[in-house]
Amino acid sequence: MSTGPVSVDHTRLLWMRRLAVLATLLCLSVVVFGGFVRLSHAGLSCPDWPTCYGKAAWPTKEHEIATANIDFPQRAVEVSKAWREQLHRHLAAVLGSLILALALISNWQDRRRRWLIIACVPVLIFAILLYNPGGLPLPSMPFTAFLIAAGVELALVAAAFSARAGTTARLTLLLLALVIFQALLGKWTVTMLVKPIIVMAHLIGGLSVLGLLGYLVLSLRRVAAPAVSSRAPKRPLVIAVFVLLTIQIALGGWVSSNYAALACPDFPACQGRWLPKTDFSEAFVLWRGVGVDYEGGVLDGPARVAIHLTHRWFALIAGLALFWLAWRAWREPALRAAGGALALVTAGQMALGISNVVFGLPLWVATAHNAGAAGLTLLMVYLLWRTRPMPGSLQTHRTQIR
Amino acid sequence: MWRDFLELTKPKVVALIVFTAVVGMFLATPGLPSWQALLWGNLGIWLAASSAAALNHVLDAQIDGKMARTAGRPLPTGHLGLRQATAFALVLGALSMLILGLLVNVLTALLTFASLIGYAVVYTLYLKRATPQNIVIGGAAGAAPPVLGWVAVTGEVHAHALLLFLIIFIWTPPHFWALAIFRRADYEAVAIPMLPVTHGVEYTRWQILYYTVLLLLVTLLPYLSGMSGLFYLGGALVLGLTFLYYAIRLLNPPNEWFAMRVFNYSVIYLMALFAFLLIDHYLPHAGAREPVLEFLRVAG
Repeated sequence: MSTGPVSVDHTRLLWMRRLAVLATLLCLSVVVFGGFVRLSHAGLSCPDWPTCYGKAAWPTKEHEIATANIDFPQRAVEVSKAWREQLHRHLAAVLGSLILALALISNWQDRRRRWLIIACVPVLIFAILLYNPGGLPLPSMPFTAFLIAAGVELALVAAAFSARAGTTARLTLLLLALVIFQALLGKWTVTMLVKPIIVMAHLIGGLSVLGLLGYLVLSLRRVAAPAVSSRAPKRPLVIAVFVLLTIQIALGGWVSSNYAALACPDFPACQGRWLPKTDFSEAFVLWRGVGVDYEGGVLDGPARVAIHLTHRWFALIAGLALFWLAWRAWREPALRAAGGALALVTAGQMALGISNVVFGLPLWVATAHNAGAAGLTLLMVYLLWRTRPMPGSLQTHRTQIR
Repeated sequence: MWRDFLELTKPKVVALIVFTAVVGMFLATPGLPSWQALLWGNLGIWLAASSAAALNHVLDAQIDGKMARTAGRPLPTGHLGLRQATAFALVLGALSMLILGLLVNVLTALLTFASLIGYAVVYTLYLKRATPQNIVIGGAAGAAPPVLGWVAVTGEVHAHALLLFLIIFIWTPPHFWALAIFRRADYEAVAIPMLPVTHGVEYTRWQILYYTVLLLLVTLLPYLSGMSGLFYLGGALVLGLTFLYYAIRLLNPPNEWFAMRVFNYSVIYLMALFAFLLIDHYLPHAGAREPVLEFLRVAG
């Protein structure tokens, strides 16, 4: 198509594509590393936010550790853990900056949205400083900081919906709002002492950022993929399976955040029985008050068994749905590779889930189980994109920034 | 003939009004309200609202005839005479006062009378023709029914009843202005100073958006004040955010009809919101803890 001189639009598209690919890869690492941080019990190893024991990095030297232990008596420094939590935050901050750049580039031509995005940066920095002034002579006003952040979120979402549907302008603004919300959830994970619902929301939020970034990369592709035939799985089917997968991932997050992974140490039976004692009324209470330290879990055995078994049995439903979709995709030549990959990753994910139980939750298996969820999310986003509705004649045209 | 009389009472609008009054009655007491309050209270409020609607037809007969939307009403078409309609309205009003005053309580009768006068005289005769804030102020009459229902049951005005009043009061401007945008040519033709006529459509759209934001915040109050629980909060948020979506889209609408879709949604919104209030009232509340309030305390 571009036989003429290189246009501004073309350069913009090129840069957006590079940035989007980079951001997606980085996001995948942040999600996988974030799972590692949690599963290696390092989630609370920095008691403050966004600093770690008052430092931008983390205390390493002897005297730094001594000072940190005096300033933060609630939790003794464990250098081997603190670096994980703080590196996760640093990686996420870089990811946030990439998404900011993406939003700025794709909204540059709309003067109002451009200035809104630019204005958000100092406002958010100010809010963070209000929350945690560090050494600066600012009053500490955490609730005001939260209100400011909430206002920024509302403004960004409103701006996103003022952009046309289906444009990268809207997608990147939503991404920006989402990644800021992820930062808030990351903060609450720490300040609410790994409260299960916050941890679960942080997982879902992270995978949502990943999925949206994947969709962005796809919609920026130079050449549109060949059209799928009428035998290909329809979009409603893909959406329905995606919903089931999302529920299963949320249940998995609930298992982890309630420390229920080893509530059943055997497979396929649980504690040697097919119908062990369960307590479903306590298992899914979403809110149990704040100020409680949730590290290690607060539920008793039967409640944890109920959570564990729900995730285990729902895996059967979600797994069957995924295999069904994979088979449907496999029958369609244009989607054969995606269908095959979906079947493989689903099988791998189930094997990892069983291994978690049988081998007593080894760190690398648990981390891989989280990575598998990310992989399934990306594959589903790909199928979602391939089955998107297309106006007949436009499908061979280049996707353009609108 | 009876159809014309029925149309004179604006049955659809009055049905919504009575529905909000019914909800006000149920919310007024932890159990079920007495059957006397339910029967006579609603009958009285229904008659009063019908009377006010008929009076509005009588007083607006001249301009109704010049507006496309209302030209087919019974008075402009000559199906009913002015005298007939006036007598009908006064009989309804008198019946309503008798029922409310003798069979319910005097306070309900007085407040209902004030609302009737507020709508039929203050709004229709004066405000409507005097200021672009007409429906903002006049909205007070339309917001009264849940309070009337509440008072019919308890005999006193409770702060929670005023909360219901506030919700409808804030809801009225975006609800009505959406219609006024669509019908602005009509209002311009008869020189009624509706906001889109005096300040333009663009300005009105922004006002609708501001009021919708305000409405979203106001509808949180029943939860925050402890009157309603999480079920209501969820409903209010979903309904309110949808309203917000409509209001934002109205800034740059896909077509002329969109204002009408906003108007139609606003009616569904109010019915659904009050249905949520009603259902929530009879749901067992899980403990005394208010998760969202607690969350807000530690969000910072």
